Amino acid sequence: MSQLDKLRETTPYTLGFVLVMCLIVAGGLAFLKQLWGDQQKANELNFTKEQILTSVIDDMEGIDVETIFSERVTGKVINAQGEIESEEVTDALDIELYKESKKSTDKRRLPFYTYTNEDGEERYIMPTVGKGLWDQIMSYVALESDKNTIAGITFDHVAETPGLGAKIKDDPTFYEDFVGEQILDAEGVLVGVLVRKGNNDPNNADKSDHTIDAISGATITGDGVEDMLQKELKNYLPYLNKQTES
Amino acid sequence: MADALVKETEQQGVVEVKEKEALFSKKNRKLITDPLNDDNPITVQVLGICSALAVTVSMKNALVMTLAVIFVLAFSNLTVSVIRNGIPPRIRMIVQLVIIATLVTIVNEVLKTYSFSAYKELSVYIGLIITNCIVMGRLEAFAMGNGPWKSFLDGLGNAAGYGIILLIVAFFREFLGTGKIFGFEILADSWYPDNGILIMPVSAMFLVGILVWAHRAWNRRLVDIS
Repeated sequence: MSQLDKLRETTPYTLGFVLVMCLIVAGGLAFLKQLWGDQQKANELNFTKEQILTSVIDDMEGIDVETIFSERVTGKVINAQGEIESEEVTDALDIELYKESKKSTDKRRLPFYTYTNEDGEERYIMPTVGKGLWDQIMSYVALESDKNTIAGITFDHVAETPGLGAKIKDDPTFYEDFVGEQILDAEGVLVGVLVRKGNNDPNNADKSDHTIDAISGATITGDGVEDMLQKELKNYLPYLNKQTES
Repeated sequence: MADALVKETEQQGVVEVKEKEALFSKKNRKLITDPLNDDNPITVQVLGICSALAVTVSMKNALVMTLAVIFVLAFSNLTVSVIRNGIPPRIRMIVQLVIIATLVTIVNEVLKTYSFSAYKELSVYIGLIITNCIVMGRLEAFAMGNGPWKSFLDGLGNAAGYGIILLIVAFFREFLGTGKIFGFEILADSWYPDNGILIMPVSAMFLVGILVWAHRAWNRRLVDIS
């Protein structure tokens, strides 16, 4: 046994090694985060804007997200009582949706975006957060100017199963089914959109039944979507109702 | 340094001066080529199966995973080999794990900064590299006892051997599952509907099994060894 081998067995050496190793690793990673942090934040912001636009624009091919967003989208922050807290789009974009969703309803700050299309019609876009099978799922729901009919929806998820639950984001036959569905029933009560199997309407020809066809093998993710829409859109109702009345 | 070496060998009563090995000597080349065939991590050593099931649903995922594993395995092998004589034996596994995790985090951050869409799609799988048995296995079995250059080559070879199987499995799963290759439609959706069983991870289990069988049928040396 050489001298070094003996030394390596000792406790002070082991502790010292751990300390130095942790310092180097932590320092290195912190440095990288400093170096790349701004770029990563910008990427995330850009992704959010892209999602908002995707919910209202059918063909995103060749669209400059930054310009279109600043030209056509306004944002505000509202609360679940329907009051406006801020009229700045940057405040709305700054809100961390997942953290916010953990708060009780009366304390929540809700981002609300308005998109004006070429014909001057308004679309109202609301982010929602919920639970899928493995982790969070999110969506941006765009409503037509009647504040009832869904104009478009984009989903995102953290860790749903590829090929099954992940289809909410990847499979157009799923998310395009939402277009035209209504979230309120005839009395104006929130129903949301139900994700169901065996509703005898696989092509979703009937747009008045508040139901779309579920993905086989992704029951829990589908239930999560249904649940998310009901729970989250409820928070926006007071504001939407106020808008309709005024 | 060289003097010291001669002195040491003389002390042991062996008179030989160590010859410097060429960078790509036959022995070193074998470090890369062996894992591709005779010593393949997946079909022969049966390591890294879990991630082979998870990421092979599309060629693109498999390719990014392969590149990431090549980077992580080559450099963790290199790092561990460089400091192998200083690692306290009692905590060597933890030290190896920290090195792997650091490299994986770097891969993840690079993707997040320079290719956000790939990050969105693949960060779940990239995290899986930390638990990939091949990486830990090579560090323990090779890098702890060999020099940096050899370890680096061994890392490259094993990661490539892993990647080849990944891409083969992904080819069949994506092509027969969705009729696409690298996302491009080959078989039109209108007459080739998605084949659910190939999209599900279980199909990778069957495919890897078939590959092990095919590999042994083709390479008889493997049958004699086992």
